[in-house]
Amino acid sequence: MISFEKVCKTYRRGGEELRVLASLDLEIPAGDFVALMGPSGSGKSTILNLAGGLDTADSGTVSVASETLNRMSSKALAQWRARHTGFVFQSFNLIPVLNAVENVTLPLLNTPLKGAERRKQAEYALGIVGLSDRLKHRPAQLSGGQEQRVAIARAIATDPDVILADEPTGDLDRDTANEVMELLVRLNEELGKTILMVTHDQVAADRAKRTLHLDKGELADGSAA
Amino acid sequence: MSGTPWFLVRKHLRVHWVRTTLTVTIVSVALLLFCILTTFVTSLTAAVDQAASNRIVVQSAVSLFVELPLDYHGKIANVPGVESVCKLQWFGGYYQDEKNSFAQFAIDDEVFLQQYENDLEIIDAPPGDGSLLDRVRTAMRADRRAAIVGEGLADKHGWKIGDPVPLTGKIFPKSDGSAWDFTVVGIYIPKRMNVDDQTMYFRFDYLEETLTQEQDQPIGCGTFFVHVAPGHAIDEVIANIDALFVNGPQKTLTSTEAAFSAGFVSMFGNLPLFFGTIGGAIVFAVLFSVVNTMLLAARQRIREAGVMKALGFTNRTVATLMLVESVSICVIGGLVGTGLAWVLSEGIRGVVSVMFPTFAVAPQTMLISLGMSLTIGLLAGLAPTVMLARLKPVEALRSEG
Amino acid sequence: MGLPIGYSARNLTVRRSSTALTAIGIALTVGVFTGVVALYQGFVDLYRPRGSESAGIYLRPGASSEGESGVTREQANIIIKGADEIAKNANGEPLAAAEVYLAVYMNKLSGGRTNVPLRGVQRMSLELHASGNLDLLEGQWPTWGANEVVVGAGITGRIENCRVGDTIRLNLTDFKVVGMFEHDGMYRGEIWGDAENMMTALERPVFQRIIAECKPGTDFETLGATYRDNKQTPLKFISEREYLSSQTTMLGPTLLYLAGGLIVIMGTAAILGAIITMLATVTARTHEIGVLLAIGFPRGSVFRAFLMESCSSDCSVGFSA
Ligand SMILES: Nc1ncnc2c1ncn2[C@@H]1O[C@H](COP(=O)(O)OP(=O)(O)O)[C@@H](O)[C@H]1O
Ligand SMILES: [Mg+2]
Repeated sequence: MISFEKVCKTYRRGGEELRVLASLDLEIPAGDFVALMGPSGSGKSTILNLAGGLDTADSGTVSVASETLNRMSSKALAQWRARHTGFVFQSFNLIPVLNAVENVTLPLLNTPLKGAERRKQAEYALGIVGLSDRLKHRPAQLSGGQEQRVAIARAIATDPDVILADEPTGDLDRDTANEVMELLVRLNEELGKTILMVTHDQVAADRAKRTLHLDKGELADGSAA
Repeated sequence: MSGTPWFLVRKHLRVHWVRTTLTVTIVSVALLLFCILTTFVTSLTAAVDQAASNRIVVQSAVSLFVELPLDYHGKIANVPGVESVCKLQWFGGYYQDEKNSFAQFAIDDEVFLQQYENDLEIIDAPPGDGSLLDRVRTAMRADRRAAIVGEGLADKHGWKIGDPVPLTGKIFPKSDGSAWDFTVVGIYIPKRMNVDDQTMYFRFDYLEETLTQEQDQPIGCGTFFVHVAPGHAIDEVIANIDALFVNGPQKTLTSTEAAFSAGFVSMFGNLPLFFGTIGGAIVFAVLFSVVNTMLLAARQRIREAGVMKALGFTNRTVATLMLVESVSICVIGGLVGTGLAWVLSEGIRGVVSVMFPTFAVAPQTMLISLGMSLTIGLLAGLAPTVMLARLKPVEALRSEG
Repeated sequence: MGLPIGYSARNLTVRRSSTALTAIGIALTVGVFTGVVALYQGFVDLYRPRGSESAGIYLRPGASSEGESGVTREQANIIIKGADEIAKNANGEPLAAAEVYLAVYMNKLSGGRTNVPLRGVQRMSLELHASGNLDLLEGQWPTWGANEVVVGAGITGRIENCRVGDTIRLNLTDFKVVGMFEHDGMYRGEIWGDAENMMTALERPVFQRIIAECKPGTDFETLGATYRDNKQTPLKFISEREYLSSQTTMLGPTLLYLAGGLIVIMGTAAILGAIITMLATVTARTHEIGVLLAIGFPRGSVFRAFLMESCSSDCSVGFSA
C-alpha cells in the first residue's frame, strides 16, 4: 500500500543543508498497522508527510495506493489526498470556527456526495468514534480526547485507503490516549484501514501490528518488512 | 467533483463578528461619504452637463450684477440666427421670512414656456381645456401676477394652483415696504438637470410696470436667454451679438448656457477639488485599514489553510475563500453605505436645497460606489489570497497560528 | 515587576513590516483627523466675530448684503452731514463715507473668470478702515477724481492686471493701478477706487452703503428701529460686527450642516480606522500577550507596554504627518 524506494529528502535553510532521509526503503502492505518510533528530529514526520503527499521527495520513488506521487502537480496531489488519505495530527487541527459535524463534513466536499448524503456520512463517522451526541459542539467546547476523536472521524469520513497519524496521543492523558488507540485498532481490524502512526509512546506502539524504529533517517536493522 | 465550502466564509464572518462589523462599518462610512461628496459635485456640474445645446446667454461683460438696457432685447432679436429672446432677471425675494429665500426669475412668459419646453414639464395647471402646458400658457397671459413654481418649492410651502404668494423684494423692495403679490398658475418638474424644482418664474412685465411706477431710474435686465435657429453656427451668433455692443453703452458677454452655468460652478471655487481630495483620502485610508485587517485574518488562518490542503482542497479553493471573504465584507459595506446615501439624500436635499437644489444621488454615482467597494475588497484580499495560495501545506501545519 | 520600556522600542523595530502597515494605517487615520480638525478650525474661524463694534453700516431696508443694497445721494448726504450718532475726527469732519460695491468679472492668472469685489471709496474710507491695519505696501493711494485704483494684496498674485502699473478696464473706462494695500480683514481681496469715478464708469446712480464710526455708547438696536421706521430716510442700520456675522449666517445652515456632517463622518472613519488597526495588532499578538502573562508579568504592565507601543507609533507618525 505504501512503498518507499531509495527516497532522499534534504532540507535547505539558508546555507545549511540537512539530509533527513538518505536512500530510505520502506514497504507497508495494505491492512497493516505500523507504529513508527524514533528520537526527535529523526525524520518520522518527514516520512509521514511524504507518504501523505504533503511534501515531495528529492529523489527515489514514493508510491501510495498504487500511485507514484513524485511527479504529480500540486492540484493532482490535492485531489489524490482527498481520495486516498486521512490525516490525524498531534494537535488535532480542527477548524475552530466549525462545529464537530461541519468539521467532519469538510473533506466530503471533495467527494461526489450531495448535501444530505454528506451530512449522513459525517454523522455516521462521528457515530463510529462515539460522538453522536456532540454534533453541534465547536472544538473549543470539546475535551482533548473528544477533539482527537472528531479529527479521526474527519480522517475516515471519505473512506480513505490510508490513515496517517502523527503522534495522535501526544497531547492526551493515559486514559484518553487508550481510548484513541482503541479506536485506531478498530479502524484497522474492522474497517481494514492501512495505518501509519508516528508515536513516542511505547504503550501506543504496542497496540500496532508492528513497530519500525527510525534513527538519523535510517530504519533500524530488520524492522523494514 | 470538488465542492467549495462557502459556508466557511459565513462562519468566519460570524465568528469574527467584531472585525466584520467594524470593517463593514468603516467601508460603508467611507462610501457613504464618497456618494454624498460626489453628489455635491455632480449636482453642481449637472447644469453644465445638461445645458441645452442651442441656448446662449447674454449678460454684462462687467458683472453678473449689472443690468443690460431693455432695448438690447430688440437688437439681439435682429441678429441673424437668433430664433427667440427671453428676458431673465433675478428677483431676490423671500416668502414671509428671510430664511425662506429661493430663486425667482422674471421672464417673458410666452417665450420662456416655449424655450423651456424640453427642460421642464408642467404637472399642474388651472382647470380648463387643452394640455397642461396650454392651460398654464393661457393663465399666465391672463394674469399679470401669474407665476409657475417648482414642485419641490410648492410642496415645501404647501402652495396649490390659485394660491397667492406674497414675496418681499430685497433687491426690488416696494417703496411702501409691502410685498409683491404673485399667484401660482402652474407647477412644474424638471425634465433636465439644468432646471431645478426650487424656483419660481413670473412675468417680467409685472416687474417692469411696477418698478416704472416706483422709481425714476431706467429699468434693465440681467440676462437675455437666446435660442439659436437650427443651421446657424452658435459661435458666430455669439460673436455677432457681442460685436453689437462692443462700444457700449454696456459691453456684453455672450456664452453658451453650459459656459454660463460653469461660471456659477466656478463661484464655488475649489469645492469640487476639496471634496474630491477628502473623498479620495478617506477611501484610501479605509483601503489600508481593510488591507491590514485582511492580512491579519489571513495570518490567523495559516494553519487552517494547511489543514484544508491536507484534506485535499486545492490551493485555488483555499485562496478563493479568502478573496471571497474580503470581497463580501467590502461589498456588504458598499451596499450599506450606498443604500444609506440613497436613503439620506432626500433629507440632505431638504437641508441644502438653497445652494444645491438638484441634489440627488445619481445612479452612476451608486454604481461607481459599489464598484469601488468591490475594488477595495479585491485589493485588500489580494496579498492574503496570494499568501495562502503559495503556502506549502507542511509549513502551514508547522506554524503556530 | 514592570515591563521595561525597551520592550516596546525593540518591538517597533523587530516587527518592522507589520509595524509599517500599521503605521501607514495610522498615518492615514491621523491625516483624516487632521483634515477634520482643519475643517473645524476653518469654521470656528469663519464664525469668529469680526469687524468693529463701533462702526455702523447703513443699507437699504430689506437688503441683507451690500450687493442687494442701494443708498441714494440724498440719503447719503443727509446721513453723513446730519446724523447725530456719527463721530467726528480731529478736524471736526464726520467719520463717515458712502461706498459703491460691485462684484466684477476678472480673469484669473490660472485661467478662467472669477468675481472680484470692486469698491468705490471716499477720502474718509481710508480713515475708517485704518483700524484693520490698512497699509499701503506699494505705490500710492488713488488721486481723488482720477480713474485710478489700488488693489488688495490678496488678489495681486491671483488675478490678471492687478499689479501696480497695470490697467483695469471697467466697461468702457480704463483705470490705472497705482498702488497695492494690505488689510487684516476681507478688504485685502478687493479693488478700491474713487466712488464718484466708479459710479460714472459703471453708470450706477446709487451708493451701496454708508459706513460710519459711531460715538461711544451708540445703541445700535434702538437706532436701527428708528431708521427702519423713518419715513424720509428709511434705512437698515446695524453694526459692522453684526453685518459681517450675518454674512456668514447667510451661508447659513447649508454650510453648517455640510461641515458638521463631514466632520462627523470623517471623525467616525478616523476612529474606526484606529480601532481596526489596534485590534489587528493586539489580535495578531494575543499569543505573545499570553506568553508575557504566563512568564509572570502583571496584566497592567503588559497593557501599558502595548499602549506605549501604539502611542509611540501614533505619535511618530502624527509628527511626520
Ligand atoms: N521545512 C523544514 N526546513 C528545514 N528543516 C526541517 C524542515 N522540516 C523538518 N526539518 C528538520 O528535519 C529533521 C526531521 O524532522 P521531522 O521529520 O519533523 O522529525 P521528527 O518528526 O522525527 O521529530 C529535523 O531536524 C527538522 O528540524
Ligand atoms: Mg515530528
